[in-house]
Amino acid sequence: MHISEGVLSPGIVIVGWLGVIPILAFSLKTIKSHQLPRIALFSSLFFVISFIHVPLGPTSAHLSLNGLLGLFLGIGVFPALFIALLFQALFFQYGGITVLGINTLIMGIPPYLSSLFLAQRLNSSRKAVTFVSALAIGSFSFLGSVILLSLITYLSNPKFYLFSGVLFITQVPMALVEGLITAFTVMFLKQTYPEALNLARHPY
Amino acid sequence: MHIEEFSEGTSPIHRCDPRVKIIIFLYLAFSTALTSKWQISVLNFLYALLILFLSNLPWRGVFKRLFWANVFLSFILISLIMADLLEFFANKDSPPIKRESLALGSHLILKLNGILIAFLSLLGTTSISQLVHALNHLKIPPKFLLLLFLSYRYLTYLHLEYDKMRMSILARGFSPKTNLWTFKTYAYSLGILLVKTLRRSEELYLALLARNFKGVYPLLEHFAMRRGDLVFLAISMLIFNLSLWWFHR
Repeated sequence: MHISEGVLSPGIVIVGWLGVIPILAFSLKTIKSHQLPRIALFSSLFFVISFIHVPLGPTSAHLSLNGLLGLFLGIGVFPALFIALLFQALFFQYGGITVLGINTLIMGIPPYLSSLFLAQRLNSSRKAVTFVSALAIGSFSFLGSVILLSLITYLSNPKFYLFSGVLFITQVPMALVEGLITAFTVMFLKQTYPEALNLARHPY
Repeated sequence: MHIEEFSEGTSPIHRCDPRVKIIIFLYLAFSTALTSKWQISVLNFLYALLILFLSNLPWRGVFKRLFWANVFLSFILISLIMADLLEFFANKDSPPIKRESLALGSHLILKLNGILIAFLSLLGTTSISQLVHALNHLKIPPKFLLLLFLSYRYLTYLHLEYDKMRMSILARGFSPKTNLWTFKTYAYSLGILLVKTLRRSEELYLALLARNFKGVYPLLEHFAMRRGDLVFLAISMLIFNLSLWWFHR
């Protein structure tokens, strides 16, 4: 879920780069060398997850699960997404290079924030609390990205209002699917590999 | 998964120094993305076409890549036309399709295809190891380049793991539908993939430590700037800067 080359206004493209460069610099400074392999592998995982298509009524949509990335990487979600989106642009022409900055912010800010506030709740001894927290992280991350994408497309050129509106409406059901898959994945990990959730609560 | 198909070749663009290709691409892409002048977009589009011709890439492959990007753009173009039609039905004085919408639509098509053609012919003809090496010379932080390289290295590994799981669930008669069972199946497969990812990342770190890793990944492929590369860079810069100056004066 990202915008193509040439569509956004120059101002938005510039704001995207001005926003993402300091975040990437801070993130790279914060990351310790033992965390680099994990961030790199999650970046590859995000790329592979985008191959999974989920049927949604008469149509289908590919998964993004940026919430899951935010959960396991913390601030490292930004370089991971930046690299994964670079590969998507490089190998499949999804998104693009000039819009890489804004696309990273669109996909990265919601999972980073939702994990920051909700990841601690995965620790709960009550299964329902863990499930709902993971569901919220998955859904809010995706929904946040959809809202940002629609808003940015509209702000870029108000003539795109219909596109922004349709994009938002059609992607809302997908937020629930993303939330459910994130929640089931977290419950699976809690049962089979609980150490993974320790990483999710304390990425560093 | 063969994803670097365009990087194999012997054309002049394939043999060009990757640093030159990155600089020319960035200049062309940003001058196209940031301009409001359609003349600059046309000129950059034609220049990108010339580079594509020189790169000798398979036309079918290029069209396939361009097709999907244009499908996405077509949604935006349709929404522009629909917005005009809605306005026309609400207010009969308004034309069914406005001239500015057509102008905007055609400018977007030019921008998107110009940047993508330059992208395929300049960066597509560069392998990831060359790209990482060239970015290293262009002073991109080594930590970021290490992430880029490791991520690329494990793309194929994770894709293979994903494929194995997909085949095994398909062999058991799995047919995806819009229901909880499908979501659970995907989630549990993803859970296994996540465990593999986490374990592999720990193993990778230990392997790096065992080899006394100091944060720099040695690259075995080297390149040198030739006179032809400098001429290509100089001509490109001259064209881009002249067009920017001419149409913005």
